[in-house]
Amino acid sequence: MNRSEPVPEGSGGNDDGQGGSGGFLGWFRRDEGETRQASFLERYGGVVLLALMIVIFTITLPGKFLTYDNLIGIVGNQTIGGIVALGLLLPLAAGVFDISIGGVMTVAIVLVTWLFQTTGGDIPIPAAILITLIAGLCAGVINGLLVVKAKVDPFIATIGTSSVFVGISQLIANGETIARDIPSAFTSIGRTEIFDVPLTTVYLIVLAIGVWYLLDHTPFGRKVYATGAGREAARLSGVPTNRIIFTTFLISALFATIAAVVYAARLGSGPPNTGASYLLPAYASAFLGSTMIKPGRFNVPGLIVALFIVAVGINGLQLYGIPFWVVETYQGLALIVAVVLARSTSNKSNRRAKQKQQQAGATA
Amino acid sequence: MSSILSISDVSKTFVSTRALDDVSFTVGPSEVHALVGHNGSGKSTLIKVLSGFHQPDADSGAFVVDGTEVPYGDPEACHRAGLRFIHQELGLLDSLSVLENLRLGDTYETGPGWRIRWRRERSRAREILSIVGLDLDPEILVEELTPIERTQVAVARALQSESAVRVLVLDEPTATLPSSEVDRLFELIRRTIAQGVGIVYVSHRLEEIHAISDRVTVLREGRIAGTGPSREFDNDRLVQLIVGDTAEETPPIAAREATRSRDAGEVLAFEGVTAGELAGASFSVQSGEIVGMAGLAGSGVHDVAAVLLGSLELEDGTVRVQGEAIQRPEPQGLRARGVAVLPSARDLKGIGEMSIRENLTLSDLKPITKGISLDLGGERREVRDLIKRFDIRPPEPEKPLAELSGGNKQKVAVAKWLRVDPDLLVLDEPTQGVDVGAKAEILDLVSDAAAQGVAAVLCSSDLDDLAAICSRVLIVRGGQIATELTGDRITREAITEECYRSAAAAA
Repeated sequence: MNRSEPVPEGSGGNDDGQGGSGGFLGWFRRDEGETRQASFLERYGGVVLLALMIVIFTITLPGKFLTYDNLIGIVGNQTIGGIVALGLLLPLAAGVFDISIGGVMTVAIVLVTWLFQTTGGDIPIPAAILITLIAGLCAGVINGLLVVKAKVDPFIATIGTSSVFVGISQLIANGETIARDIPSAFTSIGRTEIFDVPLTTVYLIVLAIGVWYLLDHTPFGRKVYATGAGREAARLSGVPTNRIIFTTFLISALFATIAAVVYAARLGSGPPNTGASYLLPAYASAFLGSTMIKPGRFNVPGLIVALFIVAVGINGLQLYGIPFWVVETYQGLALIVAVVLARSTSNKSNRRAKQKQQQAGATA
Repeated sequence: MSSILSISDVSKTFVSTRALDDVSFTVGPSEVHALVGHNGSGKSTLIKVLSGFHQPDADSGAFVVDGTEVPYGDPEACHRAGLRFIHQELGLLDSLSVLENLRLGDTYETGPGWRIRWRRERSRAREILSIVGLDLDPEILVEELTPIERTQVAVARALQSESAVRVLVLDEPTATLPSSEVDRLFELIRRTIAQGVGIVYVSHRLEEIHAISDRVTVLREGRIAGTGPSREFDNDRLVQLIVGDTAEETPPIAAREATRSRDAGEVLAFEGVTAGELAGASFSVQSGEIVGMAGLAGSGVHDVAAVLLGSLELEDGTVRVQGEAIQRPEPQGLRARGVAVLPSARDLKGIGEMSIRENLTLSDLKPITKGISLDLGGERREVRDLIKRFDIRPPEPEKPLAELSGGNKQKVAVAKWLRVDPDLLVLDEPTQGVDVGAKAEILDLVSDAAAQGVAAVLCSSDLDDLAAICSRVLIVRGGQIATELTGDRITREAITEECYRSAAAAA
C-alpha cells in the first residue's frame, strides 16, 4: 500500500467538496469524509437495540406488549409517518433539506377532503386523488425551482414555502375541519384490512421497496448519493446535479401528498395544520436510520429500523403508563442522539485514520 | 550603503532540501527592491524568514532592522520592528466594511458603556485612507471595491500602525489586478516610499520590475543568482538568471510524432475565447496528439479547463468540440461529445465518501445499466478490471476514495475518464502533490491513451511533465497563446524562458 506521502487532503479539503450542501447538513456530513468499512455493531447495532427493546417489553409487560393487536397497532401508527420519511430520504441523500413536507401534507389533506365537500361527494375518487397528487407535485416543483434556479438555500426556501402551503390550506378550509360528503369508498382506502393487516401497512411496504430499489439499484439513486456526498465533484464527473436535486424535491412532495391522502382516508375528514407534527419524526427516523445498516448514508433499511425503534419505544413507555408529554420529548431526544451518534462514530474513524497516517509518516 | 533592513548569510534547510543557501538581502530607505525567481527558487522561504514564520538554520547571519537586531522566528518581533506583509490575496474580508477591515484584529475606541465612538472611528479611517490616496466612505463594504481599491485598503491597513512602518513586502500584488490598474499600483508604491518606507516587490512580470524597482535580486535553487541595480538587468539577462545554466538541457525524447490511428482531425478548438484570465485565446487540438500548456500564475493557463468545466462563464469567443460550437460547455454535455476534463482541485477529482467502485463508474453509468436498474455484478467485474489495468492501490473496490494516497486518487480520476473512451482528455495539473512513482505511471497512462488516438491537453506547472510526453507545448501569456514550442525545442528551459518573456518583447 502506497503510504509514502501523507494524505491530509481527505479531512482538510473536504470542506470545499461539499460546496453548497448547506448549513447543518454540511456540518453533519463533513465528518463523513473519512469513511470506512463499518463494523458489525455499527451496522446492526440498531437492529440489536430494537430486538432488546422488544424482549424487555415482552418480559416486563406480559400480556400487554406482545399481542397481535398491539403489534399491528405499532405498525399501523407508523405508516403515515413512514411514507413521509421515505420521501424525505431522497433530498437528504442528495444533500439538501426539505422542511416543507409538513406544509405539503397539510395542504394536501385539506385539498383532497375539500374536493369532496365542495362537489357534494360527486367528484370521482380517482379524479380527486389525481388532482391532489398533481397539486403536491406542483409544490415540489416550486421548491425545486427555488433551490435550483433561484439558488435559495434549501433550508430557508422550504421553511418559506411550508408556511405558504399552510396559508393556502387555511384559505381553502377557512380554518375549519372539512368533514362533509367524504364518500365511504374513499375512506376505505385508509381503513380496509386484508387478513387483519391494514391496507395502509401494505402501502408502506410497497413504497419502502420502491425507494430502496430506486436508491440502491438505479443509476438515478447512485447519482443522488453522489450529489449528496460532493455536489461540485459530482457535477464535474458529469452528474446533472441540478436536475437530480430538483427531482428529489418532486419525490419528497409526492410522498408527503400520498401520506396526506392516506391520512385523510383513514380519518375521514380534513383537519387543519396536521402535517407539521409529521416533520420532526420523519427527520428523527431518517437521521437515526443513517447511522445503521449503511452507516453514513441515508438508507431505507436503516430508516425502517429507526422508525420502529422510535415507535416501539414510545409504545412501551405508554404501556408503562408514562404521561403523554413523553412522546414529543422522546422523539426530539431520538433525533439529537441519532445525530450525535452519527458524528461520534465518524469522529472515531477520523482519529483512526489520522493515527494510521501518523504511523505511516513515522515509517516513511 | 545605508539600509533599513538587512539579513546576511541566511540558510534554511528543510528535512532533505536546502531552500535557502547563504542568502544576503538588504532594503534601503525609500527603495523598491524586486525579488524574482521561479517556483521553488526560495522566494517564499525568504519572505517567511523575514516575517518570522520560518526559523533559519543556526549558522545564519544577523537580521537587522534600523540598526537593531531582530530575533529570528518571532513574528511579533518582526511586526514591532516595522515589517509589514501584503500577500496576493490581501487578507481582506469582503462582507465587512472598509472601516471594519482596517480595525480587524484591533480594538475600537470606546466611550461610556463600551459604546464604539463611530464618528471618531470614521474620521480616523478617512485619515488613514488618505495616506494611500483613497477618498471613499469607510462604511462601504469591501466587496464593492475595485481590485486596485482593495489593494489600497490593504496597504493602508499595513501602514496605519502607531509604530513606524519601515519595510513593506508586496507579494505578487499585480496577480489579481487588471493591467490597466498597474499604473495606479505604481503610484501607490511611490506614495509609500515617499514616506521613507522600503519596499520588497515580488513579481513574475519582468516588465514591472523595470518600471518600478531600483534594485533586483534573482533567486535560483535557494541561492542568489544575481543582484544589482535594475537598469543593469535587461529581460534576457533576467530570464537567463531565473532559468539558470542552459547547458544541462533535458534530453529531447525521440517519439514526439503524434500517432494518429483515429481520423486525424480537430477535436477541440478555442477561437478568441475570453473568460477569467483568458483574453482572446485561440488554439486547436488534433486527435492523437498531446498538447502541453504552460504559463505563469495569472496567465490564464488554468482557465482552459475551468471554461470546459463550466466553472467560468464564456464572455466572448467560441469553443468548438469535434467541429461543433458549444454555447455553454459543462462536463455532462462534453462527455456526450467525447471530451473528458479532469479538474485540478484535489477534492473535486472524486468523491471521498464514496468507494473506489462508485467513483470509477460515476461518469458513465450506461454500460452497467440493464433496463432501468444497475447491473451491480457487471459493475464489480468491470471495476476489478479497471483496478488491475490502472494499478490502483490498494486494490479494494469498496475502499472509500478518501483513504487513498494522492497518486492513487489521481489514477482513479484518470481511469474513470479513460473508461468512457473519450476522444479528448484535458488534464489540469494531473501530477500535483503526487509522488515520483505514481507521477510516471500517470504520464504513461496518458501517453498510452494518445498512442491509441486519444488527444490530450496537459496543463501543468511541472515542466518536466510537459517535456516528457508532449508533442507540442503552447505558452500562455496574458490570456493568449503566445508561442508554440515543438520537437527539440520542448525543454524545461525553453518553456520557462517563453513563460517569462514579456508580452511587449514578444510583439
